[in-house]
Amino acid sequence: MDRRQFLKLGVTGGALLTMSAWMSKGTFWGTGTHLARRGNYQYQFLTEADHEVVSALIPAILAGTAAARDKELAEEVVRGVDIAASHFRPAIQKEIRQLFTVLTLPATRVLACGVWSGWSQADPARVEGFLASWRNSRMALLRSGYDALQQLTVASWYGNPKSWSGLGYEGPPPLANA
Amino acid sequence: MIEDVITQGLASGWSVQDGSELDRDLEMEADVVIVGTGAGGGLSAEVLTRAGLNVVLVEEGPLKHLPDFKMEERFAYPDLYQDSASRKTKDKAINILQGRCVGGGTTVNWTSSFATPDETLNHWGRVHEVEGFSPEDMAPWFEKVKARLNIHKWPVPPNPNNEALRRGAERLGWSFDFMHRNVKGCANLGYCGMGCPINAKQSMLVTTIPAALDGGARLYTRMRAVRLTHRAGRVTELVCQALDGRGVFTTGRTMRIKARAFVLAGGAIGSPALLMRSKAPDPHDLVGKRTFLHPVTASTALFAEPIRPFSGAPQSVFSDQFLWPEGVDGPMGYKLEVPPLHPILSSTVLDHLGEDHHRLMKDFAHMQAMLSLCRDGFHPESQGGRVVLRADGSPELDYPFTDYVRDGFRRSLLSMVELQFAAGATSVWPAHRQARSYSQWKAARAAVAELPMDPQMVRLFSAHVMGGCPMGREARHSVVTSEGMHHHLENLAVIDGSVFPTSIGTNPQVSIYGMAMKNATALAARLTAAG
Repeated sequence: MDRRQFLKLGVTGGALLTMSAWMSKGTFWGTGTHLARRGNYQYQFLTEADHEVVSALIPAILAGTAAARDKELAEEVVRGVDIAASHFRPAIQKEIRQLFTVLTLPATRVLACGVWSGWSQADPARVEGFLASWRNSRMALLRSGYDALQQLTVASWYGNPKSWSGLGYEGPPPLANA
Repeated sequence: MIEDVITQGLASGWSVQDGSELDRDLEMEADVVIVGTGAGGGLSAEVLTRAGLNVVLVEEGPLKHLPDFKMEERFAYPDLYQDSASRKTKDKAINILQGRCVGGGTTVNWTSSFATPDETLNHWGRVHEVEGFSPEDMAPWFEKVKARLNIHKWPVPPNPNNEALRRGAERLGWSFDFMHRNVKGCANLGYCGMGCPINAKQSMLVTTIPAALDGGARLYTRMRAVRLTHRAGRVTELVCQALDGRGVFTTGRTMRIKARAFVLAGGAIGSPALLMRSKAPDPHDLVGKRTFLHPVTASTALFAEPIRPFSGAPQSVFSDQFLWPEGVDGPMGYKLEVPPLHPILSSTVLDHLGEDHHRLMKDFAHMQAMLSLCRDGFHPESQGGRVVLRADGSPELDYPFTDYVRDGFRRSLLSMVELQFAAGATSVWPAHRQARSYSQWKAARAAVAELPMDPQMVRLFSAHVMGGCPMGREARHSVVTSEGMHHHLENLAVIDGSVFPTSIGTNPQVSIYGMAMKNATALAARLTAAG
């Protein structure tokens, strides 16, 4: 995000979030008819649109890991994000829903994320640029938005035993008499 | 198979009901209702049951025990912690690790056992009008707790993660010592934070709660205490709502309990919130104020040799070199310890993006981490946070930064980085969004001096929530008496970390046990005398 966009965001950020809070009301978890589904897995929190966002974030947030290269592993990461989000208390689910509304509505996606195309066509460098701009933003709200996206994604991947061989971690020790 | 006291107890006919499975509303009576089963509630349950009282325990979390403890974060966090171990302050600046299960924080803590420091107890007596909590008054209670929970100095050599703290402190001439732990038959595995898989940790889950259930206490899990009904200075009833199997949504089933006495032990966010929802008298506007966190700063380092920070007793060494820098009410002091590192915990502490994150994680087995427990609440510019209710009645903690705490965060980061280099680290990353990994102490020192100590910039954590219902003599300055009895509702006690008028200055579990044993014993005496 360049400086001009950044300033613009500073002025409109609050209004954007208010707007997205209002717009997210109708899609709040529990009422959604368009939750994602992959194979036998019925998503509990993420909609199809959210699924597209998280899938687009994975190559940036998890760059260098197997999940960034392998579609099936990436799907497991998205699923882990869904499981985590659906275990939060309702008030937190609402906040995560607002965040995803900002990311999925075209207007706010362009303005707040600087991503012009849809997420599935987004250039990975552009996605990384958006994450970096939120990470280092002067607005505490955007910094915390980065934290939410980064933490949900890395927690999902590194909680998966398939990530452990890349860490020099062999997993929990066997219990002798278990 | 390892013998599991919970499995055996359930088979023997304990009265335990999972609220998520309720198919009707419940109404009941008891001598005492205890809200919460952590350090305060668990300890109180045993004391009150042994006194012959009929006790009901209400727990928002699930009953998870040995067969559920898989040593994997992805299962343990949603099962055992508030908000899957990612509860945050209102502005999201501080990540709070707080238990939500039978046994509460004691089921998931790292077993570090310290009595309340004399400095803290004396400060309470002097400044906060707390009576009966002098070091001499408390010594016999801490002795009893020690015996009950097998607290002893851990005799096993520290793991490399803790050894780095010892070595660094020694080289710098800083004080250090080895920890006491509440374990029996500990196998030095390192997974205390996910529920002990061999029942070695002497948590409430395997000690006092089984004792209470053996004595006839009744336990209701996945049951949220919503409000207390009160009339003419007495609490008459507790109203609860059952939660679904995940503990997310209410099912619509309710439970109402009438009792002679009510004990709040829902922790320092939950207990003030219940009082607020209940509109309990609070004429001096004290409830939920002065809530403390021991805000934790952190620093991670890489070493040439393997550290394997996931293996071995999580915490076994500490340094109090900077805990009381200029007395109890001078600049903010901090206690130096190490955290265990597991994949999810580490990957979320490291807030780097993409390749930078991956590079650090690849060296996970060589990673060493330090933490500083910053001692809040002892100085006028450290008033802690404030519990507020969201529209749906759920609580959150608003914890503002002041220049005083910012100064403490910066000094603590400097101390940890200096120690890690002294211990032989090849690079150190002070947990701050604008910090780099530094390979020399001088460069790191210059950089940390300039870092802004702002929310989401300095990475902050908390595993200790305290205060919000402070005890003391005067109703003008405290919510409960020094014996934990509410100043305005005569049959209501608060027996958990929320009664502390400041933070503790060290890991608080033993402080809660000691206070709980003392105040639950007093409550039991009053109730049995009244017949």
